[in-house]
Amino acid sequence: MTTVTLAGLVKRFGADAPVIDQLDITIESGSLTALLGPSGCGKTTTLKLIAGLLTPTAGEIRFDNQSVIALAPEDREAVMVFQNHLLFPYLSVADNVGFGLKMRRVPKTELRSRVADMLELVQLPDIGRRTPASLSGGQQQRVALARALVIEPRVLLLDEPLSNLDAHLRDEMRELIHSIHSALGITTVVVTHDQEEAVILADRVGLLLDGSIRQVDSPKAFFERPASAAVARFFGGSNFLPGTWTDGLFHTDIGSFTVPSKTATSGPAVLTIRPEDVGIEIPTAGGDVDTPLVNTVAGVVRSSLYGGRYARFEVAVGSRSFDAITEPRRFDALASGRPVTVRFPPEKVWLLPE
Amino acid sequence: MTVRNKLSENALQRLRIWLLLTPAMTVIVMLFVGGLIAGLARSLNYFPLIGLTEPNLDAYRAVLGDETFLRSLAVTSYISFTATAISSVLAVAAALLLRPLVLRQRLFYFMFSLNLTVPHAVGAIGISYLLSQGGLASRLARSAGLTDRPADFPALVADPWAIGIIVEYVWKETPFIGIVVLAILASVGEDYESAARSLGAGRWQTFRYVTMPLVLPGLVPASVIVFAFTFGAFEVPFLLGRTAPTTLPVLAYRSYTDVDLAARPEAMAISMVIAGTSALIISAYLALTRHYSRG
Repeated sequence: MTTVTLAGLVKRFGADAPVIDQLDITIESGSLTALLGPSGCGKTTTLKLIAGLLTPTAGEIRFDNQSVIALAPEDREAVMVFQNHLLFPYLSVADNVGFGLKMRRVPKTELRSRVADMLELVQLPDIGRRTPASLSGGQQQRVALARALVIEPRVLLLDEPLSNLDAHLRDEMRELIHSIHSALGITTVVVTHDQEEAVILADRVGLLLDGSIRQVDSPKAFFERPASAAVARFFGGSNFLPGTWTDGLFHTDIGSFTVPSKTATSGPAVLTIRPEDVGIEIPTAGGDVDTPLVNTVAGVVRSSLYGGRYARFEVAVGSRSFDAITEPRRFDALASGRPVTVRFPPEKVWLLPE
Repeated sequence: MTVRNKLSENALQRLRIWLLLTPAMTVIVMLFVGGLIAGLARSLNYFPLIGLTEPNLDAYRAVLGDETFLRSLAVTSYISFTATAISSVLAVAAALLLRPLVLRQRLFYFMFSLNLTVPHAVGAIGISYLLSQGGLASRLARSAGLTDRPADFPALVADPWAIGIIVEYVWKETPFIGIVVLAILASVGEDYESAARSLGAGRWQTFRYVTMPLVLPGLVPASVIVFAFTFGAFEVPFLLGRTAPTTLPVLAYRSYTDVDLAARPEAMAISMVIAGTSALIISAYLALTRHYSRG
């Protein structure tokens, strides 16, 4: 098993601005790490740099603390599975899977049995004689995975492994990647633009924005403890409230709020809370919005959206507005113009650096 | 719509296409097939206008038993094979070298394909000016002190190894094959090669097991066309070749223009051998591609 370290990595194409700029991340041995980021943020470039298919402009790539910069791609044992599978169209499925072994001059009998084992592992035992063109997208993806795994690489690099697949195939593929990863324990890096894909696939996520890593954490931490407003926004956060933390409270222009002390650093900061954590209550009869609950403010529903499995509201509070997501059944009760009590549960708010 | 209606509509559509093609097809059939049939008839000594009404294989017997013809066949095959092989190798090398540039700039495509517009006869005269013993290269060698007299310069035109002819063909056909290979390389991109490298293939292995199989479907037909063309081309060996042994097309021309009218069936027989060889090569190629496409 191999730990991959990228340190101060820079990749620039010609005179253009760098695609990767000072990227630092350590991918733990045997982990399944997702590099997540929007299109064009340098994710695939990072994979190609690890695989040795591109040369970095500056910085260091180490496998188990040994620099691999000088190693050619064929000597790195870091195999990349491309988004569009890239099965060689002129070879049969079995010959595709055995390609890496043939390049290593593995004897034919051993090659055949390892190819058969691998096709078994990806649950496609009987398709060795077929051509890639006769396979479905999901099958091609599995064959590409088998072709990479058969050479027992130190590092497996998967470029958007689920993005070309239909919804039901995505689930199957995700399970397959999980089971293969737990069976073989190969250090695996998955690149994706889809935060859901990253969260369900990986045990660690590195968020890549504008060519550098903004946060490396467990998937849950990105929702609960984002490192910056940009990170929170990427994970669907839309509520940001600037203020100052003093005397145990966070003071803002719409009121003062209790925040968990572990998140607080004194001075100016930005309070954030996920839309699904914002509480909306209909005030009790008489229009009294001064409830005894902590962290509540009076607001008015400005707009609402029925999303089938959820209902989404925009609520105005003073000069600010907040997004809230509730169960869909509450949609009818919370029409536009309705006065509401907005609650920010203290255990759900998080302070970001200004 | 019933099946019957659909069938008749398809038949009507096909008829319409055939009718539209008829004028062009008539010209092609008359000129090409008609010429071929007339040539075949005369090679078989069948020419009713001058009273030859009994077809026979005399001309073929005479031609195939003639040492001049056999040497000519050997020279023609040697020239075609060498020129095609060199052009193919250079074309693949040039396409690989140019690929990164071409992807960025169309100008390189244009420059690469520039000499496709120059006729072979013009190219042959150019080569003659450049490589003959009185040519530019010879004069440069002399002024550089490498030779004393023009005759000291190696004979590259009308020489025993047909170097002048091969150089002309290579100069002209390399870009032709190269354009085909380059178009494939540009459309396929470098991802397959990257995938191969990542799977452990070295540079040479990647070329051998990935690049070549990807370009072969374009390289083979282009090379076959070049072989068939150089096998049947007249003007370049006529301008740059030796008088004897010469290539088959030149031999056929000489027999045809011979004062002895009896040599005409032999000229036609030689032409039929050229046509037959080309047809053979093309059928071999078609059989190969059919086998190849079946995998």
